Parts: sequence; C-alpha cells; structure tokens
Amino acid sequence: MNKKAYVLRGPLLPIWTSAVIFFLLAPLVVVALVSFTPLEHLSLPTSNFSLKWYRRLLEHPEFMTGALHSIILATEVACTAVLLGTLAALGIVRYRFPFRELVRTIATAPLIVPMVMTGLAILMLFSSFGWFDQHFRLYAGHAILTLPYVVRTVSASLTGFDMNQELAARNLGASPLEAFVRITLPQIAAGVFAGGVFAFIVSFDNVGLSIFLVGAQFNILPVELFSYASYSNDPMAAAVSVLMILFSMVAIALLEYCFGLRRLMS
Amino acid sequence: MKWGWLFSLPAMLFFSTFFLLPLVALGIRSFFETTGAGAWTFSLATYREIFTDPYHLGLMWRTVKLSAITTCVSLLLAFPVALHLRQMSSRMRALVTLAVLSPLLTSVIVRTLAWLVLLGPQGTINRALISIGWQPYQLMYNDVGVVIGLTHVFLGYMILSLMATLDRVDDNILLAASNLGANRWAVLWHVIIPLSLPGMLTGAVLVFTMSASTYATPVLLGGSKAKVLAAEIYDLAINYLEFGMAAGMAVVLLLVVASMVFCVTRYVEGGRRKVIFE
Repeated sequence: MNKKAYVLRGPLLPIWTSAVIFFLLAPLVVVALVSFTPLEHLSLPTSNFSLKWYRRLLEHPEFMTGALHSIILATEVACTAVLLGTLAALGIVRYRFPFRELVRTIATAPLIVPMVMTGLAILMLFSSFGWFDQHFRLYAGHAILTLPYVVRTVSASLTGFDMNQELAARNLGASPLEAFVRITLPQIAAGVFAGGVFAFIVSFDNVGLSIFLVGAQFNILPVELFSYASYSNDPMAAAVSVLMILFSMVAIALLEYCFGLRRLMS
Repeated sequence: MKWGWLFSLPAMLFFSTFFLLPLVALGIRSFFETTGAGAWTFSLATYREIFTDPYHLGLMWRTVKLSAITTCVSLLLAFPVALHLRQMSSRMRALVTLAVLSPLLTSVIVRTLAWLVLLGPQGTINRALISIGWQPYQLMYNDVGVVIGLTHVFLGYMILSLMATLDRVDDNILLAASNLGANRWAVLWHVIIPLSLPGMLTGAVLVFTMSASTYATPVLLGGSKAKVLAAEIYDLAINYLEFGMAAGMAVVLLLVVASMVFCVTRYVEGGRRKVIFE
C-alpha cells in the first residue's frame, strides 16, 4: 500500500504540501503568540511575554461558566448520542425491515440540513409550546446533530462483525443481553467510543445551531467567545482560544492514540 | 429476528420530535401570515418578498458566490496535497495527515479568530506590510476575508474526500499510461484527474453545503459588508423577531444547498450517491 510504483517526483508537490500545512497551522501559532502580548490590542509580543490576558480571564466569570456549561452539555449529549445511536445502528445494520433505507437517510439528514435552520426550527417549535428551558433545547439540538456521527462509527464497526459469534454464545447458554454485552460490545467498543468522542467534540464546538438556543440562563463557551469577539477586539479572545486549542489537542491525542485519526474520519 | 427494527425506534422517536417536527412546523409557518391576535392566513407574501427584494436576492447571490469560490479554492489547494500524500512513506504520511486534519478538531470560532488577528485593519499582515513601507490592504469585512476564513475551516474535508479516492487509484493503470508514452502531465490530466472525479465531487458538495450554511465565520470576517443568508436568518429571528421571514429564508437556504447536492449527484452515477452521504 505504501510502496507506490508510480511516483510523481520533483519539488512541486512537497512545496505545495508545505505551503498548505503552513496555511492551516500558522494562524493557530499566531493566536498562541498574540495571547502572550503585554499590550492592550491584538499584536505579536515583541520584547517580553506576559500572562496578563490569562489573568484577566479570571475577571470574566462568563467564560468559566460557559466552559462548565459546555462540558456538562457535551457530556449529556455524548451519552445520549451513544445510547440512541448504538441502538439505531444495531437495528439498521443487523435487521431487514421495510423502512430501513429511510431510517438510514433520516439518520444522516442533520448533517445536510443547514444548522441555522435546525436551530431556528427548534427555537420556534419550543417557543410555541411555551418551553423556554435553554439547557434542554440546546441538549435536544446537539443530540440531533451528533447522533449521525455515532450511527456512522458504530455501523462501520458492526459491518465487520460476524453475528454468528453471538449465536454461538446463545447456544452455549448466554442470555441475549449477556451475549451482547460480553461478545458484541467489546468488539464494537472502538466504534462506540469514537462516536462518543466525536459527539463530545461536535457539541463542544458548535455555534451555528447553538446561537439560536442559548440565553441568559444557559450559555456555552463557543457562543460566549463568539459574542465577545464580535464586540471587542482585545487579546483575551486569543487567550481563551489557546485554552480551547489545548483542550482539543488532548482530545486529538486521545483519539490518535486509541484509534488513528485518519481511520475515524474517512 | 422480526422485531429487530425496534432497536432503531428510540432514535427515530427522538428524531421525529426534535428534528422532523420542528422542520415541518417551520416549513408550514413560512407559508402563513399573522392577521391579528392568534389569527393566521395562508399567504405567499414571505416568498414574494424574498424573491422580489433586491436585498434578499443579493444575499442569496453572495452566499452562492462565496461558497462556490471557497469550494474551488479548496479543491485547488487540496488536490496536490492528496496526490502527495498518496506517495509518501507511511511515517511521513501519518505526520502530514495529522497536521492537515488536526485543525478540523479545533473550534471553528478559534480558527476564525486567528484570521481576525491576521487580517484585521490593525492585524499582523497589515502591520507587516506597513513596516516594509507598503500600503495596508483591506483583507477583512469583505468577500476576500470570508473566503480565506471558510477555506481554512473546510479545507480538511476536501483533503479527506480526495484522499479517499486517490488512494484507491491503481498504480498499474498509471504505470501502463506512462509505459505507453504519456508524460506525467498527461498521466495527471487523462488518468488521475478523471479517476478522482468522484472524490472531487464529494468534497465539493461537502465544502459547498457547509460554506453556504455556516454562520460564525462569515459574520466575524465579513461583518455587515459581506452578509450571507445564515447571518440574515439569525438577525431576522433574534434581533427583529420576524419569525415568518426567518423561516422563509431558512427554507430558501435549504433549497440552495439541496439543489447543489442534487445537481452534483446527478453527474455522478446513481450508485455513487451513497458515497456522498455516508
């Protein structure tokens, strides 16, 4: 696979790839540098580095509350998506039923329908019922958005699974639940876990849908950061960004270590 | 097992309640107009306004234009990278893949803020230009800024889609072409590019649909000068409480995205349609 018989040589491809990597990563490096500026405006620190903007972060409790809310929400969403998504994938992959294709299509629809539309639709329906619980409507919206990822990763790991193993366990006296938990689950665990991590990340980062559903009682970190950045222009946003980058680096390292990023995303 | 489909039932119920029902309600709402307290009548006024008002038509046009440009730029940037990745040693390949894909897992807001820092009127790039004696350049609050930001945000998806097809191109075909006298540009143009067309289309659909419906990046980098549909939908609903209009615009946005998906999938053979959605 890696030994290619036909190779395009020359400096062009390496130069191009390096340029694209530079384009993708350089902005993130710049943000990191800017967050250490001692000055009041967005600028690269020239002589001395300072932690001023990180300290000043402590005076803005909305970021702390937002981060806490984001983590709570993303955890709830990931658990829901894993539970419902794994069950749905079991139904879709293993059994034949009349509306199977329809179910499969619907399960991927939230990835195609624009997020602003889903967000607006949930806001309008909930409001017309008189439901104004911001935490709950965010939870519902994020769970919808993340379910497809879990269905996809679990379906992928179930497709390679030989169902006769479970039958064998049943023949040897295991109950259906026992056979599933002890035989099937360990083998699809990678897919389930990957789906859960994806759900967490997607929920943790989402703005397009959340912007319609947040409110004064329950706001989340990316939306707080977005609002802050749209009215002020100081390096604090960069400091928050750096903390978020660190957070996602931990997530990436975890995913890469456990499964390999490439395999998960294709 | 006869009742196996029941496994999918909880997810389907959840979907119907929190996704299908709200969307259908939104669709219906866009065809109704309030006429006094609690009274509603069927009306096409919303759509008449959207499709006759030059302001709304302009928003639609800009959304399509910016998404199309972003798609083309991403394709141009991503193709050589995917081609290069195909022939790398596995070690190098893992490293480059990580570098290229890790931004995908970084918050979209963070990546947009990075461009805010770089492109702003007082941003890094303009300061550098001034310090070497050049004129500052308007890089933000216009279409240029939005395209740069969107490309940065969605490029990874294009690379992934291209990798998926380019990796499957059989080397023997390329060798055959080359043995028959084709130089490498001919191999690229007549063999590699046609064979990777499905991946290009998949990537194009992904990048186009996501660019057309994304909110935060165009708002932060385009401001009010380069407003897109998603931003207008938000303003209508949240700032002006014009829910009917907002619903109508959302339906239009969905139509824009869906028609793009439809057009592209029609070019690819029927069986490939699945590839795009799964």
